[in-house]
Amino acid sequence: MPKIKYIEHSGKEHEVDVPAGWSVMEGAVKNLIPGIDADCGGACACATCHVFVDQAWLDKLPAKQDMEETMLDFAPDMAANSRLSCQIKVTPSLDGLVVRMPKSQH
Amino acid sequence: MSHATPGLPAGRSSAAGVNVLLNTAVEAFEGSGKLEAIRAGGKSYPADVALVGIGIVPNDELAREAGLACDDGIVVNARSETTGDPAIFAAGDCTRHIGREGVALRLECVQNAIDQAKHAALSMLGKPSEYRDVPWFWSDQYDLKLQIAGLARPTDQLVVRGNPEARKFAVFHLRDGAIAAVEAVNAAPEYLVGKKLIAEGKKIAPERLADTSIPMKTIA
Repeated sequence: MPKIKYIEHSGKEHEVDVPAGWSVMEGAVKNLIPGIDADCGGACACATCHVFVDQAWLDKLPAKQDMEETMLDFAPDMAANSRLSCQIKVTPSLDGLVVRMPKSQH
Repeated sequence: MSHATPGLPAGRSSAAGVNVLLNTAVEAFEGSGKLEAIRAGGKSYPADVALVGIGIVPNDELAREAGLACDDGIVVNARSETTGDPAIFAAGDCTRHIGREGVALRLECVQNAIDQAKHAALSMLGKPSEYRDVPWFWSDQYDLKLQIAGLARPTDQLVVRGNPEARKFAVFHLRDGAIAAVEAVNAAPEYLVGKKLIAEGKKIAPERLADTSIPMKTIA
């Protein structure tokens, strides 16, 4: 099962197994990892599952859709490696993915 | 959706082959041993499955038995405290709370369940803070992304921004000049900025709001 490392803004790391088919957001929420709120439940409607993707993994992710791009544009502390974690589906090729959480999702 | 956008999203549904009957009451479920049709408006529509969405009645029996005040929901204040027992807190669809506009209401939505629960938790921890979050809602219907913030009233002044024909627009509801609600269709910036402006009670001139040459980021 793919392993994903979530790093809280404080630096605290959580490495968990996330089943393929789940979103990166679900991997955090279902494992009670703090820092990803996902208020809308994964509909790309709220921008509260914002993560910074480790540079080494940026090119390996599926491209952003327009809606994700627009929602991210209004997320606090948006950066070039920002993604909405509900829009990244976990696949075997993402084994080892590292994402960092922003200071706040609101 | 508001009356500024009649027929949407029902119109989108009918374009997709889904027949939406408005102002029509269901008269009967028909079939022998299993559902075969639904009778509505004097006509019979073949059906294998019926999804019934008729609102909810809060199960507040337990709260009543515990001596808590109830009035179509468990009565709580903005700190999710019940009336009757300082050790009992309540949050979510089952509560009647004082909304940010100072009016008591029962809100059936995910946002309320999440935000009110946060305030209940803060109260339990002895760090009470008043629940004043802007209610918001969303729905994805076909290629329409609906995002709504605030609670509209029939008397609000409506301002349309964008082009409803192109299915990319927002309807702002102004009350005493301030933005009270926004309904956005495939218009995330209008929704996101609108929600913030509702929280701040910002007043923006209707002509400015309707002017799409001014980006939402700089509208305020």
